[in-house]
Amino acid sequence: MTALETLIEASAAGDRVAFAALYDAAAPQLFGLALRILKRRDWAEDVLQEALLSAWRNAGDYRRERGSARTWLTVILRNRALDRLRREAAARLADTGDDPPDVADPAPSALDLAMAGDDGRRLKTCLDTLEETQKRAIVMAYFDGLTHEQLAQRLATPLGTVKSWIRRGLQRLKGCLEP
Amino acid sequence: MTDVTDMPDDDRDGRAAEYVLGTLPLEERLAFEAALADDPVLREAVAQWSARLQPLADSVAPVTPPAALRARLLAGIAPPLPPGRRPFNMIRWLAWTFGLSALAGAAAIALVFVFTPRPQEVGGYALLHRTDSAAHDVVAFQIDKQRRDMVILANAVAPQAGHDYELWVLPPGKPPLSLGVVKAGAREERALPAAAAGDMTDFANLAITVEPLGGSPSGAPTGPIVFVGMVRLMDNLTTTPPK
Repeated sequence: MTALETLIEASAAGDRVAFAALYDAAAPQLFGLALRILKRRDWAEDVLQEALLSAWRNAGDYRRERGSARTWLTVILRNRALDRLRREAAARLADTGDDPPDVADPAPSALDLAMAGDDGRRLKTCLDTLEETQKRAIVMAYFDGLTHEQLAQRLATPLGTVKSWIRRGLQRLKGCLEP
Repeated sequence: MTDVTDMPDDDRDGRAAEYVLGTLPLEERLAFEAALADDPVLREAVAQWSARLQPLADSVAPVTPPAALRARLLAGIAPPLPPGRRPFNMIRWLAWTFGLSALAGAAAIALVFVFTPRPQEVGGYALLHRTDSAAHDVVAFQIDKQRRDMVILANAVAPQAGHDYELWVLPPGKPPLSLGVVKAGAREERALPAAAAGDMTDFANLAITVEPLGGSPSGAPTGPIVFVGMVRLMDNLTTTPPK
């Protein structure tokens, strides 16, 4: 989809029609991502609404030269989703003193990612150069919104090991993407 | 915990990567965001990591959100309209954005002038996007409330020599109906074909095909579809498209 940038700039000028068009173009992808991260429809709906409201209010901060509109919207959505996960986890801990229950994942973080487009193929190629453990930790962190500590629990691996998988994996990814 | 501002550059970039990936616990996340506020280098690192990982977000299958969410959201952003103000200024923003992105100086001013809204009320609009590339080509389409006139602004590169763009409405269960030839780079105001007025419903599909000069000789589309879009009627803006 093209011209999301144009629609955000028009939204910044207060144009609701442009914002409605932006919603139609971008909301389904963002909602899919919210569901993937949060695994709960009610949370995903809340987070999508918060994120798009924030996009409307902050549309004036968007600058084309700093990145694509898709990325700008994704960052807003993921930040909201991560905040929600962290808050819910904190609330559960305060309630019971127990570890947060492991939420069943309806869409397990598949490592066989369907990544299209030039950027997608490049990232997939580079992810495939990582060690399997590094790649799994990075992909799980991205799609499941897990902290280092939660990942360590989930993978039954010491925290330091998981941190280094991620740190080294990301470094290698960067080197591969920008040789 | 080490303050991110005191870290060596490699660590700072690594920290930015972890922040974007989302693995920092809440208090480290908040501390990082506080450091971000007055650290342009760190902000740039975050922007780059966000772009690098964007294909992961794009790989997720889209899911249409509930219609009620759309209605709620759009109702929530409704500004109080000052009395006597036109409720719709799409043509002005089109002129404004295209003026900024595609034209320069005097041309932009001329375009804004040409786009001064006509007194009649806008009934519906559509933005048509290219199907075959990431180019910023957009065709804006507008009809009036009575569905007698249309305005077409084609912010697009011309088709190959010897061809014209032709605009169609695609009513469900009926053959495509031509709305005429569209000139690239031009703004045109003309009558909507009377036969098409009834097909200009909310969410009606529009398409532009490449045809021989002067338009399809047979009256049916023959060339590839290069732009698609959907009519939105102004009175229905809080409803969501059908699946």
